[in-house]
Amino acid sequence: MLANDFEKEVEQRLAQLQMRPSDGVWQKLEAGLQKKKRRRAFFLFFLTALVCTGGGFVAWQQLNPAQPQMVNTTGTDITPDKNKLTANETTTLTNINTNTTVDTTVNTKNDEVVKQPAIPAKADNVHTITDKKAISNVDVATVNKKPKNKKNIVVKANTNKVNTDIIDITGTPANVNDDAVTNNSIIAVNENSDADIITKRKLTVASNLSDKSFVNITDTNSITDIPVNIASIPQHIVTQGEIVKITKKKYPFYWGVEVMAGVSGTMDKIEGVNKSMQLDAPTAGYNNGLSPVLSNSAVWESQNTHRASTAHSFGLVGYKQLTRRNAVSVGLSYQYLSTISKIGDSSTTVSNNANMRTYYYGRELKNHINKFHFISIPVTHHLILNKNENMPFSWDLGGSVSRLISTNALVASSYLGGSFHEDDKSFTKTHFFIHTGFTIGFTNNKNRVWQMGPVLNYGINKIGQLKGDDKNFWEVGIKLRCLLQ
Amino acid sequence: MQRLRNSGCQPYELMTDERRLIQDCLKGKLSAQRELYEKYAGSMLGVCFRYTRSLPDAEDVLQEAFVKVFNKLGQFKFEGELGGWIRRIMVTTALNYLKKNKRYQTEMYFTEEYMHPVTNDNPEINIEAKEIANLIRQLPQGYQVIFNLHAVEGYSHVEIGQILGISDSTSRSQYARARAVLISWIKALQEERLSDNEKLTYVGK
Repeated sequence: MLANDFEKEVEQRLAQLQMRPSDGVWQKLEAGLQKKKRRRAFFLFFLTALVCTGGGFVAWQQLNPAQPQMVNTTGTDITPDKNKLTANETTTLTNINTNTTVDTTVNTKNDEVVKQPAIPAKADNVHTITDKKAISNVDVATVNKKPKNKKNIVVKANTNKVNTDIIDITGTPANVNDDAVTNNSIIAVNENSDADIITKRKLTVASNLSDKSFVNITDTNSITDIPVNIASIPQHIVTQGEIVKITKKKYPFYWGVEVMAGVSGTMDKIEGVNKSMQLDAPTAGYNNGLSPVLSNSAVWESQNTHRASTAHSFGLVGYKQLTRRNAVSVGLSYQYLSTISKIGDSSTTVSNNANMRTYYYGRELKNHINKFHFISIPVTHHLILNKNENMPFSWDLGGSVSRLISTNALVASSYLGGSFHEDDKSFTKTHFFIHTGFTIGFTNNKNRVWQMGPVLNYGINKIGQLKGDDKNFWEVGIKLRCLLQ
Repeated sequence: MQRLRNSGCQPYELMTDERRLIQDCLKGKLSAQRELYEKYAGSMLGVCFRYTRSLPDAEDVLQEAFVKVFNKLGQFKFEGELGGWIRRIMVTTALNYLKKNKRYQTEMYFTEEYMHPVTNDNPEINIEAKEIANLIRQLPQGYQVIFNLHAVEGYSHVEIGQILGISDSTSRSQYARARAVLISWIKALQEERLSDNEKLTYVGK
């Protein structure tokens, strides 16, 4: 025979090799295919739910725009004669309490006159401004949406040297000195450059303040509008001669409890299609050690026979908003994940291996719930997507480290003809999860915040040191938080 | 070099049938998936059988590989035989299975420790395909993998070296020894069978 004839002969003979697989192969394959369909449908449902939730929220926001509110820090009812006012017209309003007058500029929007209070001309006047309340020393302005290309602006207002009211509106310190602050002046500072004074203005300003609104501050000299982020207006005014030390807006720290309920299961490791098709080179360091022990042959039974089951968690959580758009939360919680296996009846005679406590024959007879109990430390970053401080809507992304404290999960042994046994040593003890989701917050009480939303959790590492162990946990559910300041 | 020489399956006579079958599989029709499975499972189990030590393990590989086949069927470009494409997935899956399974890892040994005489002998083979497959499966795991990849699947030693993370010279020497061992076993089996036949003939007389 010629060289390579042997190889050709072997190849030709082996090409004829036909073997009939057992029926169980197709049954498991079929179960896996159907499960994949269910999983796809579930994720489609989850995605649809997310889109609907987000869309509904946006729609709700659109259908319930913030209404301009009457603002009157003095409690004085000052109403200009609407019929006599036109856009950008200056008029005089009288504060009937203090019998003082101020010039007022009136802007109109959709023929609606927005009214502003007069200034009480009173030495060492100190006002307290709360959310949705106006700055004093203001005239009239229209309330518009924030221009998309405009930055937030820090505004200091001083309308009277003697009766100085410096209003700290937001953010960063400004280089303002007493001399610079003249009667009826406003100093606007760009938020992104801490000390850059953009301009000093003769006052006519102001505002009808409410969340989600922006104010056009009208400069009587140059008729320039400055958008001001009303949502960031702080709540104090200082007295004469004192330059405001402007500090970053402080967000309170919240702590509370978090619960989550949903379903969990196992899935193949997520990886790129191309990567999964590659032939991964075996790692170096193979050894021809002892005969394989039973635990090495144990298999996490094919995911095809594992169905999703319930999952929940509860624990403590701390929540801190860092900036207007960013917040973080850290927790400590108990986490419960589970899956369902089909197993047979239990037996005590399969093996005398002391590592295996309980044995179960075959499958397809009854359900066994594989329970996994974890202690978990989740860390989450919340990207706040809207400006409504009373109802923040955020996209969450984070990770957690979880320690498996106990499990009754079964592993199957191909050596024992598909029997099952408990072997918690086969499972990875420390797991890392990544999670994402959305959260809607509800704040009707300053000291209490409710948050809820869908969450998707995925285990990065494998379930166990087992054959076919490239299975990872997944979990989806709804979380609910109650936070207290 | 020709890789994965043939699937060992009868190709569809009509390309349209194959396309239809694949399209139905992509639509998720279980009947089509069953048809595809029935068409190729027998020959593909033979492939898996050559890489593993037991039939249950071979069936595990077969099942895992068919899951991949159905998941990635959309990537098949009709540029070759479907059977060859499926077979490549089978081989890939089998190698990954060996890599992941510690029981097999302990036997995957690619050093020069196993010393066997090298031969260029090309004996005639008069035994059945399954007997050859069984002899291949009795080779040390490293020999078995390299022999399968080179002699049956048609990979070059350079490619085998890249796949297994070994040098091509190691692959070449391992293959030569595997070949020598297998030839000696085949000869021994054939001689044993021949002598049995002679005994039977003698007894018969």
